[in-house]
Amino acid sequence: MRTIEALPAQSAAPGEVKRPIAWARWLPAIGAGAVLAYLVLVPLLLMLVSSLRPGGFPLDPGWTFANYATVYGAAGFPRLVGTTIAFAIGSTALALALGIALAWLIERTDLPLRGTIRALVILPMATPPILLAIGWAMLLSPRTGFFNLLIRDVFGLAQSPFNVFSLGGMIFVEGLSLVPTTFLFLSPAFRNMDPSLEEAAITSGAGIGMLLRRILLPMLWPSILAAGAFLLIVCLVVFDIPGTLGMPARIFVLSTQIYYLAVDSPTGVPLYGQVSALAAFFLCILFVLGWAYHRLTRQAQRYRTITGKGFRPRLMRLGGWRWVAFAGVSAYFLLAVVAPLAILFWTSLMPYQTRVTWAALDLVTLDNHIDFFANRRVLEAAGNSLTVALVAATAVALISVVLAWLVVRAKIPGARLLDGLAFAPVAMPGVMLGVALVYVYLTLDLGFAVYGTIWIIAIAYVTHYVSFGTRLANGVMVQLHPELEEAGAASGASTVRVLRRITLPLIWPAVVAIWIWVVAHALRELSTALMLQGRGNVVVPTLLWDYWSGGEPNRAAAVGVWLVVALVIFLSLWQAVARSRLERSS
Amino acid sequence: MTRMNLDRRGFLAVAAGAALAGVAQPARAAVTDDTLNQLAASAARAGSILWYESSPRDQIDRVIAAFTQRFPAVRLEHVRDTGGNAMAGRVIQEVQGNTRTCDVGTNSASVIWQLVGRNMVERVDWAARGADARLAPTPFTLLTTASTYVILSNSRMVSDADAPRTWEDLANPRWREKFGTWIRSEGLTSLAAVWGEDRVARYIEQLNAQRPFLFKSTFPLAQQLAAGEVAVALGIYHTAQPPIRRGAPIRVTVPDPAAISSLFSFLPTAGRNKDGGLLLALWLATPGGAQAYEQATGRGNYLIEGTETARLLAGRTVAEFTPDQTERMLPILTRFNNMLQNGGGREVD
Repeated sequence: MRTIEALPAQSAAPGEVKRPIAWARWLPAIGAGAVLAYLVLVPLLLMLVSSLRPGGFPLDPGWTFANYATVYGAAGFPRLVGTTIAFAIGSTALALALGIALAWLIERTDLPLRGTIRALVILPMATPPILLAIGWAMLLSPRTGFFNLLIRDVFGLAQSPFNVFSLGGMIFVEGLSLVPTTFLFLSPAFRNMDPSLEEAAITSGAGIGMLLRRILLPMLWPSILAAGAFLLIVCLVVFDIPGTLGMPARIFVLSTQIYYLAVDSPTGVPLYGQVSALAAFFLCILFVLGWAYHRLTRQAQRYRTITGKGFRPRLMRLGGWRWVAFAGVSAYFLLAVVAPLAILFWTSLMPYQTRVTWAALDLVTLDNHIDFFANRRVLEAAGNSLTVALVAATAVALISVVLAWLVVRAKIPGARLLDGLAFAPVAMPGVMLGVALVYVYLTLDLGFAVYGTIWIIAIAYVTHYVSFGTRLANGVMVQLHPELEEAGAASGASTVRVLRRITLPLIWPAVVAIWIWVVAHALRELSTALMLQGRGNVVVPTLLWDYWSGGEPNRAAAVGVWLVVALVIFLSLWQAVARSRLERSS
Repeated sequence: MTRMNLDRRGFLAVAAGAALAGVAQPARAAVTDDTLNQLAASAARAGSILWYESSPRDQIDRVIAAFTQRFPAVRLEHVRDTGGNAMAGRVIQEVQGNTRTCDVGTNSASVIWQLVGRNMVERVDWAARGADARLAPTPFTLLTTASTYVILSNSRMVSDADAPRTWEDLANPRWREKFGTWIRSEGLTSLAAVWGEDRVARYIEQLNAQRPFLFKSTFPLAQQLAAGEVAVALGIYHTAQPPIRRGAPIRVTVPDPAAISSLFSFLPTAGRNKDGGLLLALWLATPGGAQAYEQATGRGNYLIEGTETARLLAGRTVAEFTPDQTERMLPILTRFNNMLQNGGGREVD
């Protein structure tokens, strides 16, 4: 931390935005609280009520603690928790290590083809996790996995070196799948760093290891912690990869148990009470993480890297390491982006699931892609998906920025409570969020229909993804020294003008990252969309589910391919607009 | 139709005596055209029929087309149930929220049994409507279709001579680490209706010794069999059909006894178009409706003459607990699920 204490920010007065009169200070808290209460608190309360109902449905009669006793008293529970924690910590550590390295190389160094890599690194986000898991099973399964067969052929091995149906395999695939999210979390923070600190360290003879340990990691601590906390909770709740790769080898985690209780229990009815009781465990972990985050980042001024002192973003020259780094990034890229997308494409061209061989090329067909476009629901689903994704992304970006500003900068009364509420939805299993929202919109008369429409899906996404948005926005807001806003205010600008002309442009990379992340996830999200589906709200992932659950993974893969294509077009358009803006402004 | 207050005991009492297990033989009584036409006339006046069912939409589009061809004035809408217990959750929430729920649903006896326990299912005199007693084992359920458990093998990896054909063949140690099955034990539980619980429990221990690959659905199981990840499998007939139709090297054998899991149609008490719901349930139990459903979804009603499923199970002993045996069946299912998931035959609490 000593390096950072040398920052001019440290000596600046810890001034915040000008305080309005006492009663008026509560207005933003009340406003933000009302929004969060509507989006988060009501579903959370319904989940809590569900955990205390004998039947598990919030409107059922009676109260009980039996659900907690059943879930936490089960003989296998400690083992389940142990496996889950090992899986979550392993996956988070892998995603963080790769995400930090990528964000630094792409944002802070003269790595070749940085722009292209930046655009492509997030492509796997558009691939539904279920397809990603199947893809990795086809790449690394012990009997038919492409890489295993290749290595066995090349080295003449009798046994396959890798088995993706293992805890290590689950961690590897989950970790890789979360790298794009980690990258989006951290790249705005890396981009906003004053390079003079790195340059000073290098001038003083520091190597890359010391630079990382003494400058970069301490300075980015809030963003890394926020990313780590978010990823950890995601890994506790995520089902697709443990379900696809863990179940065949009898490796069960808590999310597998939730799936079993909600869908497959032999009772004939979802055991929502027990699901909610288990979700309470996730909430406890989340609150511990939230508390730890606040403890570790309470001296916010230490992490302020965007100050009134002007700096031009300069890239660090890697010198001889440039091509070594490029080779490393290429290896990651081949493994994490090209291989799964290639296997997805291969699957979409096959009539049924088959290993990658020259002989299988005879089976190549475009039928799956033709079927996708011949499906009469494609246009309706694409329109619905796009509407839901754009509305949810815009709402999440807006809410996240406002909340981050209120919590980190304005420090309104109840800021920590608001922040905790915004973080909480990530610990809610998708199925329970769906259950809660169904009740909300069946009992709430808004004057127009929400249940069974695309708007209930959009609301669910906003609720769920605001946790990601606020983590990212908070991390970047912490980096922002208030002296810039104070200078604006001192020059006579109103709060709104300061926000619009100073704060927002500085945190714009984070806003864009939030927006893109939500669009990509909303385009592919399945479990909540399925839970909330009705007669008129079909979206692309539910079409994909139709194929997948109807025993047509190859047609599902074709949908996945077109989702990736849609994201590529989307990112290209965004980059073109950003480039033209940059040219106009310069 | 009259609404009744029924508890679990009442449900079991009215259902007593109904039994599905036995050698497969087609049903005899038939629903008449007059009955269907009368129901269609009143169903058309009541608006659309809302049907909750778990098949993919493009499959059910074909069922709807056949239904509309037969009853042009009646509009049928389908909402896809996502499987497992989801439908019970949905119906309960919609009834509690006082909004429209389905007019007819199709699901397993254990799901319907939960709704019956909440007084959410209509009691129907199916016989008065012309339905055979074997199709309607309880006043709440009319048999629509059944999943048939079959032995699958990859025909490129396993020769005809070596292919397993009986339940015992699957337990042959030669298939150790080459055998896959569903993580749920519905098929094995059905088998217990004929073999008895203890014999099936010993059989599961034998299967566990094979170190099976467990899949969360039998659809990916069939695909992984086609890909060669497993050589033999205990799967479900209709879920193996998509890769077979596309040329995958999968061989299918129906063992004897033939374990099945039936799906029944039921009418929620809160349905708006009650005659419409009844019309669809009865039509699906006619040869025309049953064949339309089977051709679209790949699974059919083994009690309806002319269906592929009836041919598949002809002469075999059909093994399944009847809906009135649900209470007895559930602990067995739980026990077998735990045995499969825990492996090695050791059971989990």
